[in-house]
Amino acid sequence: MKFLLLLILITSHLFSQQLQMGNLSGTVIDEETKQPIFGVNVVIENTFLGTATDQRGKFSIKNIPTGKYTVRFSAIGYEVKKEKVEILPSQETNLIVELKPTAYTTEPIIVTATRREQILSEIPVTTHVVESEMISNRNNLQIDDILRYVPGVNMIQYQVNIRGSSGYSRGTGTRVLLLFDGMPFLTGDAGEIIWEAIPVWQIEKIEIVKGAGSALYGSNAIGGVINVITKETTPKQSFRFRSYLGMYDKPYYPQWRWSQKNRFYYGGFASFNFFVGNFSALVHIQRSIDEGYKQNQSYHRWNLFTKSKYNFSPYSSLSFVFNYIRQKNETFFYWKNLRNALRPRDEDLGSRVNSERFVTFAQYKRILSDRLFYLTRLGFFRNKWNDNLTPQNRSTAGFINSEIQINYQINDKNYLIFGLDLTYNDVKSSLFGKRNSHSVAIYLQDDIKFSERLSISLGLRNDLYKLDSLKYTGQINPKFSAIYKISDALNFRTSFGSGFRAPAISEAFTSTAAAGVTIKPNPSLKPERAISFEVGTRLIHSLAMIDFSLFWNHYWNLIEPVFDIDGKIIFKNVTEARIQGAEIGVNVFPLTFLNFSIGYTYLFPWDLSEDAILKYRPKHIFYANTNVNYKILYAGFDFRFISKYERIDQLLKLIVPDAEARVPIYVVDARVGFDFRRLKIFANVNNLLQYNYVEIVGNLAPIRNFNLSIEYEI
Amino acid sequence: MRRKLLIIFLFLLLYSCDHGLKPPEVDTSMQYEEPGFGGTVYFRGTWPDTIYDLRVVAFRNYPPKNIINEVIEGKAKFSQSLPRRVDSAKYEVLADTGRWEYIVVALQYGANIFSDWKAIGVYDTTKSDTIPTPLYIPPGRFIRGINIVCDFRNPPPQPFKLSEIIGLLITKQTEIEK
Repeated sequence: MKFLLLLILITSHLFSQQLQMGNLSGTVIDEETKQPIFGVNVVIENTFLGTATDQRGKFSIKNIPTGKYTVRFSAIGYEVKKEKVEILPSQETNLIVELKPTAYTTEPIIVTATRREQILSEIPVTTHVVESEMISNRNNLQIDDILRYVPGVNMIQYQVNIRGSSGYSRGTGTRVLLLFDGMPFLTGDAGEIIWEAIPVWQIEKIEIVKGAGSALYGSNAIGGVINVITKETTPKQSFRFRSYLGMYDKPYYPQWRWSQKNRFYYGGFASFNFFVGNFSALVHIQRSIDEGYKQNQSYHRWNLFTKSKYNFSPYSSLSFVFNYIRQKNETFFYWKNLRNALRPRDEDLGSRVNSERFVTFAQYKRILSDRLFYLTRLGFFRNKWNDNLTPQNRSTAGFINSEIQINYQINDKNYLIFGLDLTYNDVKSSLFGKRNSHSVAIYLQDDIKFSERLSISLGLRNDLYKLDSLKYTGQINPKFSAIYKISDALNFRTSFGSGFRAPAISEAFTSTAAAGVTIKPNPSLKPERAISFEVGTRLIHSLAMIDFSLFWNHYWNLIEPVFDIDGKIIFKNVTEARIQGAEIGVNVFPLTFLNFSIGYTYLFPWDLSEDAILKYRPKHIFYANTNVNYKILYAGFDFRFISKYERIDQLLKLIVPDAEARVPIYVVDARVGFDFRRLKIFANVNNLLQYNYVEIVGNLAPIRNFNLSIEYEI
Repeated sequence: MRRKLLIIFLFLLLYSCDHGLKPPEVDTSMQYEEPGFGGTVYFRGTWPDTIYDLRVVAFRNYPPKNIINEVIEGKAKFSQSLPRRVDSAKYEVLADTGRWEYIVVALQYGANIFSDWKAIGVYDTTKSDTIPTPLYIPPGRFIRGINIVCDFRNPPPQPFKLSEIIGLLITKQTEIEK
């Protein structure tokens, strides 16, 4: 019924469109140098109409319904400017706009939190953005390295935790949903995130939304959503390449030295952006080799990433993404013992995995009017791997996702988002058998602007999914959020939402013996459920940004691996938990060339089933970061502290020698670089103070390493 | 406030100079045991007239249809020869960490080491079935008390090609030791 009403609304709106149209064009220049600025976002507020300036700083928006509008101009490194214009029938309004350069960070635009573009101060949930510049400066090789410096986020080896959501589940299932340009990016078999598959140097930004997000994104968004947004193709030709060479220092203790030679990591990428008429494309190829600071931990990797876009008109475009990774890596399960912290168990020597993965999707966007557009996507993610154990384990999974999203701004006060999301997953594996799953979901969100100060957002999503031979299961997840602006600089917000996670095929059907343990299937697993609640406040000033929040998350039916009565491991719904806490993030810009930021998260993660602290969750997470950017010189420091996990599971204590050898984490990274516009040189030291720690028991985290990278753009 | 923050930051920075985890000063390998298992084999009934060899053998998998591969790859493990015509005998098998699904007492009853073997006892703690009890050996641990009863009047099921396999295993091991 709601769907019908929506269709009627949309149809009536289309027919009621004004026939009187006008055009807007102009040039955007730098206020100081008077030079044209390329890539300025030009958006007509309260409409879906917008464009970006070309290399001559020019822009043009056609077929605008007549009336009075506010046009917003924004670009990185410049203050946001708003201009009021009036569009007259069959006339072209021309503007010359000057933008003032600024050293302060401008408010980022977020798309993940509410499935539409909003500036940070309008977002009613805690959201963090990592920009591409920081990724480049740090020479991060994988995005999990980037996430290690996001407030409230901590990695347990390859498993991401947002405010303690995930813990550690040996790579099966994740309680954080990773999106790759909006497409779900979890493997069909184990439901895990393949971090190394993402081309970090083509990332435009990473958005991290905290709290349950299933009301918009469905399963796996129970603890939060991470959206990796890649760079747009541009209507210009450019060639960019980067090369890096890194070396691991010798282990701090002579007992840990296992190799006489130095251990290196190296690689690089080349990318080419070109355009022909309305077609533009980006091709990126990357090679990475790591000899490993641990024995039996090397990898050889190829990445290929292509993105292309065809603009049928200023209001409709088709994008196509293809991302491929081929990798051969040795596997280091656990150390031999603390005296041999960089050596694996004898029986694991020589074990390796070959994998080949690709994700491809096409996305079509069409703006039907200044208040209505839709977006449709069809994607496929193939994951294939095998190891060299006897008998050999192998798995092939194909995950298909299709989605249509309609954004409709009924009037200046109501903004509707409606969507339909379909998935199909087919797995053939020596570990899980031949399995499949599928799901259907619909979602609806209404953002209501009561006044200039108060906005609320209501949302609901219904997921229906089926896991192989098991019965259909339905999940309804609501959400509510509100934001109240006390002034332009200060606002208060609150949000409430629920989440769920359907069991991964690997959790329900794994049957294997590996790394000294035997796992048996449990097809009667139920989905995990959660509710999350948050209140917060945000102060945004040209000299500082402060964000403070209190949160409360309750989880039911958390799936954990446990010993069954026969001594085998089985995944069961065993845990009810509550995670409460507070988080503060402060960014200060005291001088034009200096910025400083800290983030602190206090967690109280409690296992209600066992009346004890939750396993693998820290109580304190603290980050500090400072950057100096003076003329061509760039320098920065990162510091992170994560308190010791107070509890791990008994199972690992049995399997891993010296499993109790854990310490709080204190890591300092430093970097210095030179930016000559086309040529960039970066030097980094990671783990500067050579601090030895584990993120997961039996696995020493990377020891001190140095790297030098050079990037050049033609 | 700024000063306090700076002090906290410097404290955390300096604290990190302790280098975190370190290898144990006392060699914990003293407590480390060579992985394996051992126990006592109890014999019931009348001993056969001819006995050429008697050993405890451990295999990774059960049923033992793939054990030939394990033998060829040297993954199956066995004890020293056990004393004969006794009521009980102690044994030890040095076996790698992990799961061992089939632990058997094997007797060589003829001169041909490649064919004249039979199982006379299996480690099985469940009387309700004839499936052998698996054993898990944690890293650096030697499991004791793995006792096996051999009843000559009631021998366990004879696995396929066990005789050839055990013969091959012992010959292979003897060659390696030489």
